[in-house]
Amino acid sequence: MSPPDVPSPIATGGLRHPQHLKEMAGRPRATKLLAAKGVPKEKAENGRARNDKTFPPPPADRKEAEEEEEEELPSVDDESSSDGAGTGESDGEEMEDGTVGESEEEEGVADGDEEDSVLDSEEEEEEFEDQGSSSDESEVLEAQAGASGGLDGDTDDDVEYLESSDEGEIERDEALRVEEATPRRWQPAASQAPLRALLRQGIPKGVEGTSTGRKRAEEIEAERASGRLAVAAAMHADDLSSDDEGEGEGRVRNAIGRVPLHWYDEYEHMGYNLQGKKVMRGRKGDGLDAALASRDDPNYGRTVYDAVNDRHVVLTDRDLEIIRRLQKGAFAHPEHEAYPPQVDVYCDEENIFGPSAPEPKRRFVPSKWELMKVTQMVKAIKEGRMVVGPSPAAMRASHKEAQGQVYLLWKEEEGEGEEGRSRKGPRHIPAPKLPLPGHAESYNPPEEYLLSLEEEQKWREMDPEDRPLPFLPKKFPSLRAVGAYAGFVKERFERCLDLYLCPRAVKKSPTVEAATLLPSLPNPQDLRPFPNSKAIVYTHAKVGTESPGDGGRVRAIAVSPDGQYMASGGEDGRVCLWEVASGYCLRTWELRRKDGAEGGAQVLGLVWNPHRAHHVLAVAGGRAGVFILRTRTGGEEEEAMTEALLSSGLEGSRGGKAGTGVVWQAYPAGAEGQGGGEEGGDGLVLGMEGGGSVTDVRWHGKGDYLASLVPTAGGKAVMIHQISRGKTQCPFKKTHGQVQAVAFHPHKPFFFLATQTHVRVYHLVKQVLMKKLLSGCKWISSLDIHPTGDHVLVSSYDRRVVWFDLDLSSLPYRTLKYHSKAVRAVAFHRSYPLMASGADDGTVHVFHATVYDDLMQNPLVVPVKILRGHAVVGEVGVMALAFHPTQPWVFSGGADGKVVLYQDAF
Amino acid sequence: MGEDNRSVTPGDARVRLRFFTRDPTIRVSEAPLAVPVSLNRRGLSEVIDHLRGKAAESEITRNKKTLGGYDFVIENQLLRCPLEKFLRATGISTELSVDVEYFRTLQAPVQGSSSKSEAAWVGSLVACEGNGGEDMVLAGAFDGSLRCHSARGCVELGGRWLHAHRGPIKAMAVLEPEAQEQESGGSERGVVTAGKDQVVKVWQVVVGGRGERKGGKEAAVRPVSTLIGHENSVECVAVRGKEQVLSGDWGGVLCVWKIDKEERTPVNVPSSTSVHKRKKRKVVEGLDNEDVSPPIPGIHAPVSLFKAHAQCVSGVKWHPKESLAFTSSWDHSVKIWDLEHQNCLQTLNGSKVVTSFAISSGNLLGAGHPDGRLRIWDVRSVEEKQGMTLAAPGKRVLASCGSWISGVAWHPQRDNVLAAISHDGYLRVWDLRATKPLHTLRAHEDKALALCFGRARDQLGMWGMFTGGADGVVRRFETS
Repeated sequence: MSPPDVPSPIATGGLRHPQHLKEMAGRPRATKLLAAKGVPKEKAENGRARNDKTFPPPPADRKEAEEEEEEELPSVDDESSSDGAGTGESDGEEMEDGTVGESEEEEGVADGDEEDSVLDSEEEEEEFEDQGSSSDESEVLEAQAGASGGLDGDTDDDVEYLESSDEGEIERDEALRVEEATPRRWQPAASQAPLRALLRQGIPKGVEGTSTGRKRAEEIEAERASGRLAVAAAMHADDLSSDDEGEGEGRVRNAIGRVPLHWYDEYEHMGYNLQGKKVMRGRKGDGLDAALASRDDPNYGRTVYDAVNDRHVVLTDRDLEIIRRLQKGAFAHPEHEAYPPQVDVYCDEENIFGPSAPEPKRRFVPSKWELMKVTQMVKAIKEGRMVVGPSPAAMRASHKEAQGQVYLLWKEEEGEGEEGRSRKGPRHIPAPKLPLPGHAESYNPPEEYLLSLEEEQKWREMDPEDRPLPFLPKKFPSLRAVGAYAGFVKERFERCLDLYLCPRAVKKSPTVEAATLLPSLPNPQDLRPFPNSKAIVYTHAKVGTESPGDGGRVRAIAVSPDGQYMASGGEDGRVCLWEVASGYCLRTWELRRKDGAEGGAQVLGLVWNPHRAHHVLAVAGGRAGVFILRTRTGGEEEEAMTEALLSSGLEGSRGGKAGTGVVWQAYPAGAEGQGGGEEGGDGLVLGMEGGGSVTDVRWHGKGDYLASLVPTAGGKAVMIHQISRGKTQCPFKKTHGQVQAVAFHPHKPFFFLATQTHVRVYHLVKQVLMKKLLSGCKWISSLDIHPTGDHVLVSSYDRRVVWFDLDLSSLPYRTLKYHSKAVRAVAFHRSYPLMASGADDGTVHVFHATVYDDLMQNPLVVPVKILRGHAVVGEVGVMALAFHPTQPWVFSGGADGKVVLYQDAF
Repeated sequence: MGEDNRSVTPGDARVRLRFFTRDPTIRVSEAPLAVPVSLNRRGLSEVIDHLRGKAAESEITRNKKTLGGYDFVIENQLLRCPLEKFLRATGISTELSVDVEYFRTLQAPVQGSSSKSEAAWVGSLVACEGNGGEDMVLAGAFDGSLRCHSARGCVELGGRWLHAHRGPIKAMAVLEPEAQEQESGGSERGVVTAGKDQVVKVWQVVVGGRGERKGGKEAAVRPVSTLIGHENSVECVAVRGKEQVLSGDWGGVLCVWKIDKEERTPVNVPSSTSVHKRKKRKVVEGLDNEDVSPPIPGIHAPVSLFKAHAQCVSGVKWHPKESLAFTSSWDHSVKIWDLEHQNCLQTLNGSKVVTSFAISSGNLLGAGHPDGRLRIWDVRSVEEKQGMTLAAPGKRVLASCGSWISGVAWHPQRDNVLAAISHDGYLRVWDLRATKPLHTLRAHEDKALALCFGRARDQLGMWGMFTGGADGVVRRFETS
């Protein structure tokens, strides 16, 4: 074992270290051994020519060679090393001269191999690593350079090394001289013979392990498995680096430059270096040196003279291996896996379709994996290992919310701006534009733009903020006469203040489409039934009294509670009782004033007693007072009740005080009618003292109380009479304005009083004003209450129909302005959701009016039909309106003296 | 067929028709006949006449006028346009022969006589047999008077006819005659009248007979009894046989009466089902000083009384089956009642007030409405089983009559023909199988308020139709 700091012979390019020489001392010469064994002869027998370049050697040779080598290993150790040294050198000489015999070559080669193998078997790793290192080559070169004559500095080591072994020195010198004598061809084929032989036999075992192919391959595989080969690959990465690269002494120096070597063939120098000095050749050995080296130099077989750089290069085993492999035609580097183990790309699943395989079912079916996961989670939840609830992030968020949200203070409202606007910043609101200059700003404005003296005075007196123009328009003859504008700076300053001090906001002008303004009302077709066509016409006025002056106008209509009869009253004081179905006038009353026929009475109001047993009609007879007429339409009992009612009223009125100025009298019997001779008279007449004209009468829901209205009577305008007792009372001391209409609430003790502009609601029991409904109309004409009692309908002469929702507010819920003329009458239907208004244009407007039970929904009012059945006489159209109590029919009475019944014909 | 060249254009399509009829007098062979498709009713009538051959010719010569042909009904629809159009519109398959039913056309009602009494609106009419088998019609007027009209004119009535009721007479009905009356040579009929004065009165009308009664007048009216029980105006009345009377009033109450001929003194008959408390009262007759009033006739109380409808009962008719009745009302419905149990068996709900209705001998019910429409209901016969099974009534709406229909009457013989009068004064005769009325006639200047058919055919085999209106005229029409 050589100490680690002793370089190996291979590393030193065949020059033996004294240490090695000592070790080799005891070893026999390899060549002899080999010759004894007869290795060369066998090789000769195999018929290998000297120039045979075919590699690899036949397997038989290899095997034999391996066997021989193996066998020879122990024996090789016994041989001396000195012979090996000599043979190495002699080999080297032989190589270069090309005159050495084959046997010698082989011997030399074999010896060299053996020795080398002996030496290096123990130190494989170190040598392996040391091969190719630049330091070795540099040492070699330095040694060579030193030997050639002081081109470079001699190293003491080399000198010492050389001096220690005399043979080595001589041989070395010979080797050098041999190098000079060689023809100047690079690597002639002849000189390659010993190398070829070496390569043919494979790499010497001692150098890199086995020399021959198969074993070598096994070793390489073993190294690959262990990973050493990869390390080796990394180490030998610079195998292919050219000689020109490298740093320091590793770099091979060719001092003469790139000149053809044959120029200096005749000379002793090779060329000139940069300085101009001659570069002498190294000592070349002659043939004798070569022969000696071939015997002694173990590395002779592998020494190659580099003519360009003037050196002998001892090929390392690795180099040899590389060369061998290249010549075989294999990949150069041993660690390269030319044929890596085939990894069949296959899988155990056989897919005969390839990419066009049908999609597996699991892509369409609920995922098994998910199911598994879910069942696991369910199990975990059931066992309590997992807790279900909002994620921690969500809990944090909700906790944060509970604590107090953080709001963006300047966040834009929703719907404004684009998404991601907040990132860019607030929306750019452009500055308000200044108005463009007009004519007043001109330097030569027209005369009208100039201010007169008074205007100027005013302008000066005005507040600067109030001024329409911030300057006085002036007229200049030419532009150059225009002076500087004194207010320029201030103006610009003001503008700047406006720009950066005033906050700007985008004015959102709502886009109003015409369609959105129109309410979406249901189709009238869906709101049937409602009256839509004329059915029967009752002619109230006598023949010849259709013109306005004759008083044939129908002023009032009333329908009996069961809908069998209809009463109409006209300005001529006649009240007609009609049978609704046939249109037959059953009875007529001609009302007269009690003090004689001073123009008769005028029927201004008519209302049928709502009590079914009281067959009584209340007539507002104008100046004649209030008539309470027996219609005699009931059965025996009902007639008796009616009679009893009226007679008790008459009796009661006699007993009571007459402070109210109302005189109760029996209305005389014997009025015109059929089946004359009724008993008990026709009814009562309540004469109003004071000369006022009774315009309206209304019954209370129970049928006992009657309210009458004399608009001109001031405090006594509204009077409430109790028929059963014959009592009259004036509930109001004064009325706020002229009273236009009165009404009772259907079931509550409320009283509605309509003045010209508003409606007052009184509580009769508490005797207080409850509500004041402001209609917004200038002149109210009539009033009607919805059967539920929560809605009030008011008509006015300024074409308005106003609906009040008492639960909603005192202001109108709806104002309907559909008529073109004054509206004279409005009415609600008792059972159907209908409402009607009659106006002076001769039309009756029918509305569908649904009132909902729940307080959340407002009533729905839909205009549904315009009924034209009346002629406008004297610019007066429809004067009276009444719905049929049970059918969706409406009666309208007009100035043409007719009462028209409209029915629902669909 | 190339033989008939005059009426056939070359290339005219033909269809096989098979004629059949229910009238034996006009029957022809039922073999299918190839008939050009372009023919209409007139052409087909000519074909029938041609087929009938001599019989038709003799008829024509006898009547001295063309009879106007026949009416054809294919698939329950009257043929009113050319065959081709009809077949295409109805989509009837003409592969095999098409069955065509034919009958004599219902002739347009020809106006016969008209008689006018005083200007009193004629509210109701009822026909009874008069002298010599001719129709005589009793008219109840809106002034409460009863008048009698015949083909010759207004018949003077004896007896208390002027103030039969204190209010308008709204409905009348005729009782069946009793056998013994015919022996006397005259005819006595019981007449029931109902008026707005809430009473129903029964009269005996004696027409003709040996000797003159009551001052030489041809007919006389004698009050028999008064039926008191209604609390509101009586709108309708119906009789069956001799004794059973039904009446409905404006309060929706239906009263069932049973009248006996004998006079009785007023008896307080408690009726457990009466709605209101009744009081015994004498009926004070109208103060008519023309005749000395005989003793007060009997007062009858209703056998039963119940509230049938929520509103006015506008019409009531007996059902062919005993103890079942139809009632129509202003609450838009027609109901079928079991009077014994006061049970409503079926309700036919409409959307309009039913002003009048009539039942055919089949299962059809025609209702008239104020919007001028006639609605025909198909009411199957009521099965007397436990748990009545009644088929759902079908309904057909005929085109409008123009205005408020005040009277509907079914043809006594033809099941598909009905007549209606309305407030526009027109009389319309409808065939259910056609969409337009067969005949439209102006009956009155003013409103037509009453309609009835005669009792029997006259010598010519014509039916008489009487209409009364607001102009006080009673008109007679003749139709086949």
